[in-house]
Amino acid sequence: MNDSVIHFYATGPLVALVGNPNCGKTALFNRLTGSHQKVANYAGVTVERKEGKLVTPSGKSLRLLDLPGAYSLHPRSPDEAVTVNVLQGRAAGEKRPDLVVCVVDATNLRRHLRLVLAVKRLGLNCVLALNMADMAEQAGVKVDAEALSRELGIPVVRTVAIDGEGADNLLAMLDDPVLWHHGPGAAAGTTEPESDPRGDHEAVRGILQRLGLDAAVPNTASDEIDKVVLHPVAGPLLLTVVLFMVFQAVFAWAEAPMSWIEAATSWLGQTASGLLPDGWIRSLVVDGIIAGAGGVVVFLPQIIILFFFILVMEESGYLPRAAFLLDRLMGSVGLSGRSFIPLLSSFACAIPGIMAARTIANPRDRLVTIMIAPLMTCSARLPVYALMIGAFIPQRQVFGGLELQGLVLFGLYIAGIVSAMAVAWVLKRFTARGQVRTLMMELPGYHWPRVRNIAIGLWQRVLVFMHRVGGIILTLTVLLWFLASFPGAPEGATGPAIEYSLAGMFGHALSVVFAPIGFNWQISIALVPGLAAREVAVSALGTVYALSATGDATAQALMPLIAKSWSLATALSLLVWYIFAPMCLATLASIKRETGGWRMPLVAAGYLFTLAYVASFLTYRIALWFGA
Amino acid sequence: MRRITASCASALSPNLARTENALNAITHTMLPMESSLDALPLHQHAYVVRVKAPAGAPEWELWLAEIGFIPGERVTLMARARPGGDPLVVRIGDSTFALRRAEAACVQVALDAGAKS
Repeated sequence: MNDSVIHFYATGPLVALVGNPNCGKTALFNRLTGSHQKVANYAGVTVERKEGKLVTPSGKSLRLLDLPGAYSLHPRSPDEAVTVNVLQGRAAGEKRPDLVVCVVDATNLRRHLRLVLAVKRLGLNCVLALNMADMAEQAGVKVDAEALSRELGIPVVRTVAIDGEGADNLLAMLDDPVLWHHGPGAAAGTTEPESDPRGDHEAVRGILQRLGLDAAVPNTASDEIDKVVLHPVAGPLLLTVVLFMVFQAVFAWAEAPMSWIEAATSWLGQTASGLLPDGWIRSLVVDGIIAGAGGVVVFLPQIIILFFFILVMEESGYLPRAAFLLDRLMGSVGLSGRSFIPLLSSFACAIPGIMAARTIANPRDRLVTIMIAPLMTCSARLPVYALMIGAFIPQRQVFGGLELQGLVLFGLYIAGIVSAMAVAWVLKRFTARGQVRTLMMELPGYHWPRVRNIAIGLWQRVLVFMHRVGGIILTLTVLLWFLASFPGAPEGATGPAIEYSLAGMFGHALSVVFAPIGFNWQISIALVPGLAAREVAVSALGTVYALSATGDATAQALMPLIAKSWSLATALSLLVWYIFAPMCLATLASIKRETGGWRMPLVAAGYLFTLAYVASFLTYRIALWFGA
Repeated sequence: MRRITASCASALSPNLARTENALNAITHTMLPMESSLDALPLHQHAYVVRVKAPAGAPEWELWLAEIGFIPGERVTLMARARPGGDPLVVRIGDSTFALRRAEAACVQVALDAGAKS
């Protein structure tokens, strides 16, 4: 993620979407901009910045900014601070919006209109998008858009984020030139937020009374679902089942697409072999680039499946309920349920997880969440786990239909969670004395996840992953190929060429350190490029073995090769190593950026390395003792 | 307390049930009973009287106000997590929030007598 002050779509006036969290703002943004959106960060802060492009019916091209959701203009998190700064025209590298579209949930005008009044007072041109108008009508709330417009003194348009009709109305409205130049007292506007929410609340109450919308909106459907989801017994059970199914699915569903990618990679390698002359270029292309990139892309299906489930839980409104259910558990180790969402994101990748920790108001909780996020099993570990499990754990069913391999994977996830909780508990003993923590977390109404939003969310995450493949990982694979190929074996050498290369020498040196935990020199070499991204270790092993093997073994896949040449004790030790080890420099870099110094990343690297070494040592010794 | 009275009353005799109705009528006309939000019986309708943050977390007052805890707002306790009864699920206005018990304890509410969902 780069700090970016670039406006991707440089032409056209700037429109900003503003609203409370859970107002359907992002769904509306997706509806308006479709695939024309770019994700980056705001300058100087690690807050996600989403900008899109749209064209009005008259052909006017506009830039649309999806500002982070905020409850008020008194920021309590870095995300909310960005929204306030942009609206006040104070954000570095950002233009003050020419027009603000305030998005409100029509079923919750009571709370959402308050923000509209505050934004209006900033003196910006405003439009109100009455979102989820269909759901409000189903709940018996008929909002008279014209009357509301008169009350607020700004144009009001009904939108339904799930169909295009409302969005079209909004687009048509954006063509109205009056909108852009006759803001509510643009000159007289103050840039200071209201000092007391109660004043605006009284105003909203008055508006709702005059519009006949003062009755409570019944929330029956969501309440009925909550009776099960938040039930003291059924709720946690359901959560366990959901999480377990997700991890089973990650393995079961991904199998077919993974075999296609594998087949495509080997076909590409063979074709390239046939086209290129024998020599170091062929070796670089086939063994370095194609094998390296292919070995990583092959795990894309699993990452997509995991993100798919996280997105569905997020979209449907289940995720904050899960946080609620886990709050007590998290509280026992000194964290709040709010830490659940960053930690869950860390299952895909620690970096978005560490960034999501910004939503935690308590600085200590935030820091602890950041420090334990790398212990969550990120998807970059999956290639390593998958390789080891595939090679060493027999493919059979236990306990009536459960895949043993899936079960072991689940165990590895649990081990990560348990150790993270243990670390948090230890930190609680030392740092949490007399702390008061806040939860105050909204439980939005349930709704069906929208295919479009899931698809756009998945696409953005796939792009980030592929970007990493194309950048860091490929560079390192090629670098490793170089290290493993030069200098070549001397005349009359008997061992494989790599033993005489730079990588071989380095691996041999490292293997002295790692011998007590059962790692051979091939593993030791693979761990070095694995520091850039964990999954690189797989392609690195591929490179190391493809180059060091002789004769028929080159044609064989990595799995049977390591199954033959490593002991089970070594495999288990490496699995345990990967639960803890600070094997990702990008994660450490994110910690540095989020905590503003080198201290925390160094502390994290130090404690994770120590944990990893001790745990692997114990695993290796105990496994050897059992004769593995 | 009132809830216990109600269930006991209806179980014992119609006479006592009538007393309960009378009690309800009295609470309607008299000043409503106050309690802190965390002590409110489940599904009992109430409204916010005031919010007083603890000395250790003065910012809670504004934060709670911003998510809707403002005097006069309707509030109902929807669920308590088990075991331990912490955190709580609270319906405030038209929104639902999860609050810690300590957070809910800052909110003083008055029973909306008679109304029960």
